[in-house]
Amino acid sequence: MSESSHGSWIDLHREAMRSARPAGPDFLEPLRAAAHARFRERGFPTLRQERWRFTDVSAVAETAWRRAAEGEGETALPLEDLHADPAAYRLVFVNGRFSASRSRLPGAETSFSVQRLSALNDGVLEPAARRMAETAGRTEEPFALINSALAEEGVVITIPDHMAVLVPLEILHYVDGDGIALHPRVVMIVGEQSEALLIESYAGKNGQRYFTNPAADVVVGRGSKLDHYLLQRESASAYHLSYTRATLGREARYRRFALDMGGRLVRHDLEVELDGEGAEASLSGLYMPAGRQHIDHHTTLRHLQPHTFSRQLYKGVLQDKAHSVFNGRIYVAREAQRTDAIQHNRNLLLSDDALADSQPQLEIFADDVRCTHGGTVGQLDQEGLFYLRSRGIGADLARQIMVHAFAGEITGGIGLAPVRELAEAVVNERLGREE
Amino acid sequence: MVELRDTDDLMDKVVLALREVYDPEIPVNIYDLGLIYEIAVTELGRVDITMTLTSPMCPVAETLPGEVRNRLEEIAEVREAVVAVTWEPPWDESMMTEEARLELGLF
Repeated sequence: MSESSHGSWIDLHREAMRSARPAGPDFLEPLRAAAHARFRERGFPTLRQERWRFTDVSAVAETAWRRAAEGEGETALPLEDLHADPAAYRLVFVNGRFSASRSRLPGAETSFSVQRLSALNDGVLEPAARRMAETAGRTEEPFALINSALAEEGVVITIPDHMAVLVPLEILHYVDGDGIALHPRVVMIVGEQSEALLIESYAGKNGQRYFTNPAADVVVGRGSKLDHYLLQRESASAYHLSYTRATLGREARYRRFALDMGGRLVRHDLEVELDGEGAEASLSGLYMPAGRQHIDHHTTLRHLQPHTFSRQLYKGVLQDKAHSVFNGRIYVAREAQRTDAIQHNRNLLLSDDALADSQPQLEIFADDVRCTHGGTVGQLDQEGLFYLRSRGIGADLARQIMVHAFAGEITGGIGLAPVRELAEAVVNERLGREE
Repeated sequence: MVELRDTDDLMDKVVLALREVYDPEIPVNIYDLGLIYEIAVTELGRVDITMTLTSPMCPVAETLPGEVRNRLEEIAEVREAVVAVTWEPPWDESMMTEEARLELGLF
């Protein structure tokens, strides 16, 4: 990639945004400018960079992506089938634009706040603005910078202290249009001793080639709990490069589950900061790429305070010529004594041409810790298959049963029943299709 | 669903109290039935509940919110309980806990 092509379409987008009427509150513009400048210094990552050596983003860098036109995709199908939880509050975006008729916002009786980034007014959302500026100023992730430079729309959710919101909050992005790029933002700030459930869902019309570049900023305050679900069902030709940063306070608990089914090339960069004694993070993911899909998870857990706890379990089922990457980094600060961190990545290859790369990375500066990691890549257990077949079960069904058992360790652990049922249905569908 | 933290916590006491209130026609308490959408407590002892009813025609629509308020005000630390009724999102069977669905034979 030549120096001159670095970020050319980004420059054009920036120009277009600046000349358009101001989108969103005033605080966004300096933040966009700063992120844009930082991105220009670094450019798109290349295979020569250690963190990107398995994931080639040149197709994203070299495409002249466009912003969706006003009203484009308005006629997209009713999207009910994509709802993860029929009973949730819901914000639906089509081609990056809010669709009021497809959404269901909390009523005026509620005392937490759900707002769109473009409709925020300055002052009201100071914590969200501060958080976004902080992330843009310190992240090293190129796609987080692109999001910060170009985000026009997003959702800002603020849950006050001492509040349990028992109805899930679902954000659904649907894309219907070739060549579109969107950079949606989520900011979720949970106060102290509170609870909430967040579902981020991404999908698109099959066959369409587009680029989704979401970023999420999550803060879980002292003693609070947040369950965060990420459901990625993009078109099989789409690019999805996401960034999430979560910061956990004292005794906060953050649980996250990521399901990856779609996308031509998918990468999730996740950073979790355990920044309070007793903070807990449980991260899990299931990915089932087929064809030539490429799915990459890069996680970074920063244990910054004593007695912090993290669990990671990511599993992949790979078919055809699929490629998966898992890179899990655990950083334990000198102060973070009694850290307890476990990380596992397991991959099941259903074809000889599939490839799974798995790399743990531990950086431990404290001396009283428990940190373990494990990565496995293997085929279906022949003895197990033989056992099932010897009981009169056909070869295809026997394989499905085995894969189910493998994936069930993840899907069975999903707390929210509708999301669990959806994950199981999606697994079934993917297994059924290969027959 | 709120997971109980410790018995000193007002939020826990509120959840326990809500689990003692029933919609008369249904043998599952209103909390596990999924009628409670939000619980907010303050250190000064105010509790705010946002809840729904199984349908706007619900025969107890007039009395159930009052019953909830009375039950919450029996908690020693609660000085004031405020109950708001909402229809967004409408209640749906999927909001029940799995135990509640099992109890009602909906599986």
